[in-house]
Amino acid sequence: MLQNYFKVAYRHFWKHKVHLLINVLGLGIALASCVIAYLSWKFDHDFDHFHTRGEQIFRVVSIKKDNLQAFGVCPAPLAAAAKAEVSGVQDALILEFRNAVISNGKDTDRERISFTENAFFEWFDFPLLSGQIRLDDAATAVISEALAIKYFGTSDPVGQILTIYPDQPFQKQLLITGLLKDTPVNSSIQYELLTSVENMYNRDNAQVNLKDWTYLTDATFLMLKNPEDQERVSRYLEAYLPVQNQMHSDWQIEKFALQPLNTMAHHADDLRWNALGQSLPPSMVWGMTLMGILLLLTASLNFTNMSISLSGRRLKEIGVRKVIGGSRKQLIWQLLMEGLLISLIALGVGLLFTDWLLPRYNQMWTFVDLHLVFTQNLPLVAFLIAVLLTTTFIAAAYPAFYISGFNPTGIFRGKVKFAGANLFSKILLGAQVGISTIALVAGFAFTRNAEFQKNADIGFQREGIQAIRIPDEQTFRVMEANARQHPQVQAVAGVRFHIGDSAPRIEVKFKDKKQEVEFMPVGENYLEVMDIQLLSGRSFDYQLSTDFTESILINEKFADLYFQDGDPLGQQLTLFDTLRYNVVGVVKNFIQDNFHDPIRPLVLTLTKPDRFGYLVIKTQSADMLEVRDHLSVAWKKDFAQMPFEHYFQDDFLASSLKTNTNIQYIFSVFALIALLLSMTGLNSLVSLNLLKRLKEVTIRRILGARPSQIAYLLSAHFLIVAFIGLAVGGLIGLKLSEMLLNSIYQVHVGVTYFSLLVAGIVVVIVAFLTISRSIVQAITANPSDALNND
Amino acid sequence: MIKLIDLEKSVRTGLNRAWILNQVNLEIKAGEFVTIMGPSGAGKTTLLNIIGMLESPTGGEYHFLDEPVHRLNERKRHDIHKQYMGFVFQAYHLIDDLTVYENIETPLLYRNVKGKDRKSIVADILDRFSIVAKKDLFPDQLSGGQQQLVGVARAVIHKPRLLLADEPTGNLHSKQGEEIMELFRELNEEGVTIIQVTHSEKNAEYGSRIIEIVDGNIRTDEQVRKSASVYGTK
Repeated sequence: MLQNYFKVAYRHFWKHKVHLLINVLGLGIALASCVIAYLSWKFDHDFDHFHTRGEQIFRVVSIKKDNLQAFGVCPAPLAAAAKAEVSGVQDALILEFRNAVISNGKDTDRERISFTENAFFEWFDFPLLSGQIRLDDAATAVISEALAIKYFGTSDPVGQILTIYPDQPFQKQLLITGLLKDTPVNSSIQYELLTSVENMYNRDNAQVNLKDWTYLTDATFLMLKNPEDQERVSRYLEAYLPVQNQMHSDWQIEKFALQPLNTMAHHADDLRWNALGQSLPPSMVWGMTLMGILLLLTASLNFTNMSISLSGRRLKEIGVRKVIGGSRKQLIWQLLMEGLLISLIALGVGLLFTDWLLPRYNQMWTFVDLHLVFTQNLPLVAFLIAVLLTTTFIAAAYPAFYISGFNPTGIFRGKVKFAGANLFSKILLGAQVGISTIALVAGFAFTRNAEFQKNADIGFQREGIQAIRIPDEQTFRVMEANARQHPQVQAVAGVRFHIGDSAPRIEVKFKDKKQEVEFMPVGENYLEVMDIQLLSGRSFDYQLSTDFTESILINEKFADLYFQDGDPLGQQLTLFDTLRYNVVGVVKNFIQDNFHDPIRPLVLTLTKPDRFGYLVIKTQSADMLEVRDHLSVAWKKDFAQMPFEHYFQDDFLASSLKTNTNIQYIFSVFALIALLLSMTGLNSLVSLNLLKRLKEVTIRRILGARPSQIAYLLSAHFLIVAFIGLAVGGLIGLKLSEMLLNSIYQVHVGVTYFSLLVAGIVVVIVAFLTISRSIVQAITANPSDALNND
Repeated sequence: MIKLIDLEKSVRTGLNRAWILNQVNLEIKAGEFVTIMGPSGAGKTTLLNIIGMLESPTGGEYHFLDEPVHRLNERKRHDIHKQYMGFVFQAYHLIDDLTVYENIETPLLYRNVKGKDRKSIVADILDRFSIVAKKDLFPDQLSGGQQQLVGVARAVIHKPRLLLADEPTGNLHSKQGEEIMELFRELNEEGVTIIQVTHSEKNAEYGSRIIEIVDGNIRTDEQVRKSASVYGTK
């Protein structure tokens, strides 16, 4: 019997193979996006979940008194004190990071060094691949596979030597004792090289004293005997507030809070000064989920539409089967099995597609690493079965439960005219067009935003600018001279924190108020080289020695926020509690980091080369590479012990643009598939309608109807539905694009009805092209053929 | 075999009720070859469908082999239909996506006949109807007469006691029609009760009894010759 069903299904579908192919591919791609959405969700949900003792581990964060914001840092002595004195705390651990130069004698680069103790490996499940861990010996280190490959290639790193701080007088040689597996991407803790806390030096290059309450560690973890003690322990920690606040009077803490290891990554975005990683951007998960659902909906709706239209052609078979002894139950099973068969094929296509897509998808984003693994992944298997049954139901429920109920006599007498152009299929069509429009509008919105990111006035010169990081004044002088020697170099300048390298936020006092603002000490000519425009007042006067100590510029945002009711010029600002400056000018807003971050209030002071962190060089765009090579050679000659850290200005904006391009790409593919599916749906509805009304159309033509009237007759009610779908989908698409842009970018182009208009034009053109074939067929058919058929 | 008492079939048309069949009383014995004739719209096909349990009457009684069909539930009716009846249609109604062989085999599948038995039963009937050579063709590759042969083969493959035929030769030219009618005569002589609906006087001559229906009523009912059961099977 199954064989009989299978033959019928196979031959039936073979006759409609193009239709079926589009549907199976559409459904497969939709299933693939659902699988990716699920994997993203799971990846995000499981952030940091791979540690066996994870339930017991909590991170201590500090809530600062003046702004009540949570900071990832914690006073250094708290760990030891809590371990010794707080009941319920079983153990404590600190983890500290520093970007420092390391070298193997040949290659030198800046890396992120992690400082901790042996206990780190008892707390966290980071597997050791070879060697051993001896962090109690400060002359040793363990490194990740990635770092090992970078510095030692294929040779065994265990037993080799790496020098840390080779650029400093206190440089230290470390023996590599162990090789660690790379950290998973969904781990808050990311390491490359781990060494003892004794090798830790602060920003002023002094060895860190962990008993100093003014020293803030990057991460402090407590292991509780019982996870339920979280609240109690955080209350007990309040006992240390008085001593901390007394010792560190300019960094007063309101209270400490404990964040469970298993969930902290999801709150990391709200944390300032956070040296640990954070979970996926929420839009990554909900965006993908939404897309998966919408695509699955479009594909399924199309499937339903196809099932309805094709089952119209199978009415006879259903009638015959009933007459020759098939029961309704048997028919329902037969049709459901057919649906299951197609869904299975689609699922297979979907999984193949997922397998193909995942590596590419992982490459698109630095922060995801998704894998399709079925073994010991019961939730994934359950999810796939649920998806399979759902699609089977959507694809086959209508024919299976509805059509199987028809009376054979009705079918044979031709009373049951079933051509799929009923209200239900019109609603399906409208929904499909709507979903396609959503994707199109979003695609156009992100295309516009990409243009914006590439061409918008971002407040500074970005063409022909490159920068190199410099550690001290001597280096700056040497490299500045080197740069000036090159004939193509137009201008050079120094700056402490260059645009793109997040400037720190400091407190500024003015008019009895205290505000947190970004702080950017710039050197001579920096404003001119970067072409930062002055709005009012004057710029720095480099001849005036008092400008270095008394004058300050603020940005437009600062003026708008805090000087709405008066002229900021001439106002006095106090920095670092004691340094007084007069506002001499206001500069136009510029993007300080990238498009992800908002434009924040900012102060600019004038500074001397001993405080410079970057050398900025301006050339023609075409000369940038040549100048970089020139500088690189010069650097290697004089400063071989230090890495040559070079940036093109566009690098700072590249990640925003990459994100935008990725989203644009995803939406374009989404729109293409959704459009293809909905147009297949439209085409089958119109051609079915033509089939049903061919006789009527022919008679009307004989009676003198014009082609336009025939076209109207055949397509008007579908086009009305499509237009409704277009309008509704367009508005939803606009809203959605805006939400997505807001969640990703602080600075973006916004959405306009223009996107809707373009999407609308595309849908209308494609729709007309789709139905034109059927209509031409109706208009040119030979009338006698149509009538003789009856 | 069949006994109809005051059988009615009506449909609602707007406020009125229209009778397709009205007060039909009829008895058909096993072995008869009955022809139902009458003008278009008289209710011939409806009567055939009711007898074949494809439609339900709106009133009256229907007894089949002493079972009160009008009181049976859907499932029971389906079982009787499945066990005792075979259908032949004017438009053949073969399943387009199945071959000749598969079309003929399908009723056996619904009756859970084992694979080996199925093969021999189908082979026998292909042989008997001389369509062995056509067994792997699809319906649209056959002529009308050949399709109807397959239709008849499919209708009798499970050895029904009652064969119902709705204008079986309506779409065929006369030569092909004669072949089908000869086949019916043979089947009848083997003991199969046949009820056919036709417009053709010539076809009616093959039967043993002619019932004329006009406006939902039996107008005439005449025995034209002794039925097979009376003079016995060969």
